[in-house]
Amino acid sequence: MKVTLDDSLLMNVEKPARYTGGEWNMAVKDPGEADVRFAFCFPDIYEVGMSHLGMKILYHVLNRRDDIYCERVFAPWVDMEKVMREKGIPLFSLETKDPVKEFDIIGFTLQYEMSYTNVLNMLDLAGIPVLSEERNNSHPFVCAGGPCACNPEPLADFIDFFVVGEGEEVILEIIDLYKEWKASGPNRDRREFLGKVSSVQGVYVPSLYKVSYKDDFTVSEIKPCFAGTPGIVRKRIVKNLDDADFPEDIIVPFIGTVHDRIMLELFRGCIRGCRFCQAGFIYRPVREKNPETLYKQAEGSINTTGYEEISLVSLSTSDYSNLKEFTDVLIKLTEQKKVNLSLPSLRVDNFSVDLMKKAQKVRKSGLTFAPEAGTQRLRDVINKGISEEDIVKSAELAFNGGWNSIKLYFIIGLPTETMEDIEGIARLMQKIINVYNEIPKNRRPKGLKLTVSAACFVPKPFTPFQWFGQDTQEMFYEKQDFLRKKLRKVLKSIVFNWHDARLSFLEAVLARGDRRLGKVLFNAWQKGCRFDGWNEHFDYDAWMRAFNEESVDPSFYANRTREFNEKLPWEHIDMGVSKKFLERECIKAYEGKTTENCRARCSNCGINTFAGGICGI
Amino acid sequence: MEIRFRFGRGEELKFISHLDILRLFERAFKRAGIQVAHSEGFNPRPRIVFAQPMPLGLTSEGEFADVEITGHIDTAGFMQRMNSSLPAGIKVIEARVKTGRSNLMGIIRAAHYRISVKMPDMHDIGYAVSSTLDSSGIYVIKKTKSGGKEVNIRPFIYELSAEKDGDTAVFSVILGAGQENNVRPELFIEGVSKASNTPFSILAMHRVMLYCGKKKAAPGLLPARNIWITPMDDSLL
Repeated sequence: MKVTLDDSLLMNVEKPARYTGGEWNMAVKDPGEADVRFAFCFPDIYEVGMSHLGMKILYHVLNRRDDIYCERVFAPWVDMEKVMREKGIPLFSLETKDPVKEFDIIGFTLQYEMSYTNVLNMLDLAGIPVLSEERNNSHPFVCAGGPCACNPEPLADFIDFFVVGEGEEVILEIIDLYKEWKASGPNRDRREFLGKVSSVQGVYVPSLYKVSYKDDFTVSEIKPCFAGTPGIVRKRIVKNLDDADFPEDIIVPFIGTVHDRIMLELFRGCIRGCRFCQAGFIYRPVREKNPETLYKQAEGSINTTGYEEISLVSLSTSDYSNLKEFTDVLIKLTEQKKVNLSLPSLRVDNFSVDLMKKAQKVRKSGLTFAPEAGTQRLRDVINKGISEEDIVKSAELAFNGGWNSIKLYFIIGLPTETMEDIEGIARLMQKIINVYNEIPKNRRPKGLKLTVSAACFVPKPFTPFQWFGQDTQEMFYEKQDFLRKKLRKVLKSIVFNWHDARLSFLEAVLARGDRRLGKVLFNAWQKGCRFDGWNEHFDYDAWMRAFNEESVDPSFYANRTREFNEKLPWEHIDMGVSKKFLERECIKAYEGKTTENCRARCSNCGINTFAGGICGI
Repeated sequence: MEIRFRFGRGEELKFISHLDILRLFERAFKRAGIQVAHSEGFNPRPRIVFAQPMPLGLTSEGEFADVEITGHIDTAGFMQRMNSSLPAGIKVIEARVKTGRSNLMGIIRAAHYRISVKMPDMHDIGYAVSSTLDSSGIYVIKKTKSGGKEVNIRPFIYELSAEKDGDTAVFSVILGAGQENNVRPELFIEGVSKASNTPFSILAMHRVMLYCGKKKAAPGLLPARNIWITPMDDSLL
């Protein structure tokens, strides 16, 4: 039964079009004709969720099949949630407005640890038991995937099964198994399906594993409960992206979204191996698409969406092998179609400045650099393969190219960091200002605008820093303070942004957490925590009360440095990169030694067992 | 060439803003393969002009826009291509070639609305209409950028009738619209409520048509009176 949203309700919430659907290219099907109804849930608001490429891909892959109807569900903003709870309106999908509870499978994407409470809240709004053990045959299966699923343990109590790695192939295998199970009669047992699906590569059913702990709360063992269940869950990848289904007919929202444009995925994975970057490890191996595939997809997307902008998407666009050849032909297309070409995550060099000038009809005033650390020593520690000379040269090119506004991203709290490294950020800024001042006044853009953004380092699983104890909040505050003062001395007008150390602390807890965090998450959610990633709703004190009441020490997860021989809570998950490799990288980091990129030289990370992309030979 | 078209918006899309409508049309033109001319300069904008913004919650069958396109297209082809590129809830109803220089935004004078309201059973709708039309001034607070301003909306209620069925009534009203003397339908209901001392709550608002003033009806029609003209009138194209 479709929910009804009357006018007076919609007129009284912010941006009602978040809840009404009907966008161009939305999948319209008769739900009665579909054997499997899949609710793709994004645990944040519409504008954020609609910017997510993964959802567009899976929506397309699922809806291509006539026997499946995939619909979208987003977290209602707090004003809408209030009305829904008052009026007893359950969480519903945008396509048919049917309650999520009536679906067969509910899939959450986990893009960010701080959206976990929204997962719980959405299940509750849907009228589905939040704890998976309380669900029965009348309830849908609840699954979750996305980057955070590489350490699924904090959500083990709430999710029936996780999908580890890339979803576009495995999701169809799961649905086929589900169809078989559904057809097996009314007395079917939920556990039967979970047992079957647990043997599919890339699927993790947490209830089929037992985790035991030592007296010091570290993990002693993670073991399957039954003989047939695999001891290690290996991620899935799509071997060949040229053959993979990629959506051209993406949904075009009516209201502005965060990334309101066509996203053309150039490749997956990254050759760089920056040691702080989880994406750089979990999305290996590097797999590129052919320029011909990309061109076809660009043209198709432009024609079917009418979008005014297309963006090249990857972890490091400059590393695409055929970038020059491809952009040469792409620019001709975008000019002819009057479409703007946006080029994020591009290294600033002669080629890219030239390209950006050609690509952007409207000059964007700002350029973004990500040196990440202030000194060469620390950049070597994190294996960020750029030198100070590169950065200063890039700034010079930018100023000469007419850009007056540069934003620089740094991370504070990186392993081995000292106050000298922090001061290095200010010194680097001074050098950039000097470069600007050396350019004659008539040849440089007016009004230099520099922004320094300092994130707090959050160590993540499957990186060489997965053992590292995060800086305490006090240390972060001290470093932020120190940096602010140093920057002010360099130039008063530098805009300094910093992350909330309390939020980064919680992110670190959840990122490397284990199953003992389930009860804390549940408790925090019951205290009203949701939209934790949104400043105005982040309630740190409620979280701390939840930890306290459940007798769990958050700093055990965030601030404790682990030994290499400690059993980590995610060790039964295999993301392709070996623990030995990460250990080697960690040791090299502390020695300040860099590692070459994947194209220059293979560092035997272990991913070549997947034999895809550049590791395929 | 320039084309003036009338379009409507149904229930499906009444909750998107005017800005969203602009973007929707820009994208629909691209999908339809109709190339819109762009302004010159630093930040080229597509040359599409809308007669009047649509407030949130309003449905309509009387919206107008002018678009300048490069190349040539006949109006039937224009409608067909647009309507197969527009989402459910937006439809081009008629299109004509425009050769004159009339600025669509500047020529709108009035708008015909159908407004459904809920009202107490015992109140008389006839009284609400007559007390509105008979009053010499109806003062309501019009929201402005700097707060509120008291205005008399009576002079801009041009025609008014209503029908009642149980506890719901439908007003058919022609109100001042355009860049000057614009009266929003909500403000009108507030005014009627004040003039007749009747509480109303709005159920639905529909714009039937936008008008650009009046002209003499063709001779031979009786009784001879002035009739409202739309932006599609020959004299304005």
